[in-house]
Amino acid sequence: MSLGLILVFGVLLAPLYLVLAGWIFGEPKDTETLAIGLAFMTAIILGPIVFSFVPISFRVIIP
Amino acid sequence: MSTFGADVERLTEPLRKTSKSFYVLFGIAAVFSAIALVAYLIQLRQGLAVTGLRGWGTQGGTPWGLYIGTFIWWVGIAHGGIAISAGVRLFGTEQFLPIARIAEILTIVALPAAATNILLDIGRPDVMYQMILNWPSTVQSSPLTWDMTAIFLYFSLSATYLAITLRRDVYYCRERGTLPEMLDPVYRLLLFRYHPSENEKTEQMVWWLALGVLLLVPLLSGGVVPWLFATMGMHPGWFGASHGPAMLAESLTNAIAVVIIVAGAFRYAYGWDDIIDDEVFRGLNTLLLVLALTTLWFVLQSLVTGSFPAAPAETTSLTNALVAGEFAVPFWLSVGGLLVAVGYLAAQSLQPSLFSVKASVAVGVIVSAAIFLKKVVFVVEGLLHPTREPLASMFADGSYWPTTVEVALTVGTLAGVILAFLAITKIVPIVELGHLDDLPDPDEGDLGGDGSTDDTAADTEGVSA
Repeated sequence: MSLGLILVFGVLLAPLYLVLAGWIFGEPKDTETLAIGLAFMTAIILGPIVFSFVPISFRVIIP
Repeated sequence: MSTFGADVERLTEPLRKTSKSFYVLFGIAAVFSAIALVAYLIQLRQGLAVTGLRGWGTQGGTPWGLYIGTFIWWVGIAHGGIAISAGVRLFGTEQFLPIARIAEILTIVALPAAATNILLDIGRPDVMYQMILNWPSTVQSSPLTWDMTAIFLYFSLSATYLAITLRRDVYYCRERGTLPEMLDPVYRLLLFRYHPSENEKTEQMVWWLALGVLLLVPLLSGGVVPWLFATMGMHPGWFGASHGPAMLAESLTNAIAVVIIVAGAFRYAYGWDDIIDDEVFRGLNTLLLVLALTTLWFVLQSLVTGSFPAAPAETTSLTNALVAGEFAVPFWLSVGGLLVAVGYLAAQSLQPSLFSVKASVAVGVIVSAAIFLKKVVFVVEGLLHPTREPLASMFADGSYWPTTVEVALTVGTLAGVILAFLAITKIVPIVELGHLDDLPDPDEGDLGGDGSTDDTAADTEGVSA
């Protein structure tokens, strides 16, 4: 396994794992609020990824 | 007095009132943003040839300069915001509660500004698409990809943090009718299936988010950003394990300096002397003093080791360039700025009568400018002089000076951030209301608005539908 994979998935993403574990296993438990939080986070993660595809239009304008 | 005793109407004043100075600042920022847009179109049409950036080695230039220096500067600023807010939640530093939301917003606007500078540096914007497409392979070994990943994660956690903490405040303000009606669709989206009973779980989720964000700070400004440079052994001055902690100290110094500036601006603009009171600034000044001293301590380390006769040749050459060579002016301006700041901060700490908010803001400006110079010099210095063999024999020394286009775009990112900040103050409450002593418990239904409990519940259900 490469240094990058260990670093990104083992170290950089560790805070995300911690947050998700805290949300899911921490008290108080509230499934609906948890789901809303996860939905917000997913939307926020997907938003910039989708937006980042906008620059591809430049390739159409100037190949 | 802090926010605890403040009136809700005053705290939501920015949502309803627009002063003349707001329009003036908005106008100035819009003009500089427009200039930056023109500069970007010029760069798109003519390529990076309109910048001072050139290929390293054969073209005798540097591929990184003002844009990358500004990128690091913005990433640093992004830390102060959310870290201050997270500190309030994790360590109970409620002294900073009045500026917590302002600081969170600073993070949210600073990170896109940092990403914009990367976009400016890579030339064709569609290269960004290629970078994303190639992520599965580049993540194996590219510090730049690690950097992108960490910044993206930081932004995602910070934005989620802000969105979740806003739900209660937006609900409260919406019930009181203090939000602009034209943005109601945005508020309905934010309040998706909101119910006041979720607040207990929300607080728990925000606590974990705060912990996650704080853990990311040293991994970002003290990790992946310095690793962009510290892993490159062929560039003098870049390689080494000490850049991580040194850049983390610089970034946090810059972050606190900018938080002081922004907090001062809001206090002045809305007459919030009693809300963002002197104690907030005294606390921030103490933090800034410690961090600026730490930054200077790292500068001392590099100067002493680099000036010692037994230092490696390229390190000696680089240190000479900083101390008395081509980088002497920006380097000593940077060090001088930090020393002036430390002098004032130490003096006002020992002699409280010397404290003033205006002086604190001025010191914030000086510190941030000093760190900016230091970042740009650090980026350029490692690329100009190929002192290691075999590159030293192959390539001549390079040169770099930013062009008008680069300066316009760099100023433009700052103007864009100001525009975004001003716009956000018109959309959401910029001081957290959830901690007000006189904030009624939403579970009890009396929010001071016109609607009854049943109306409120029905309306929220309507939001969720």
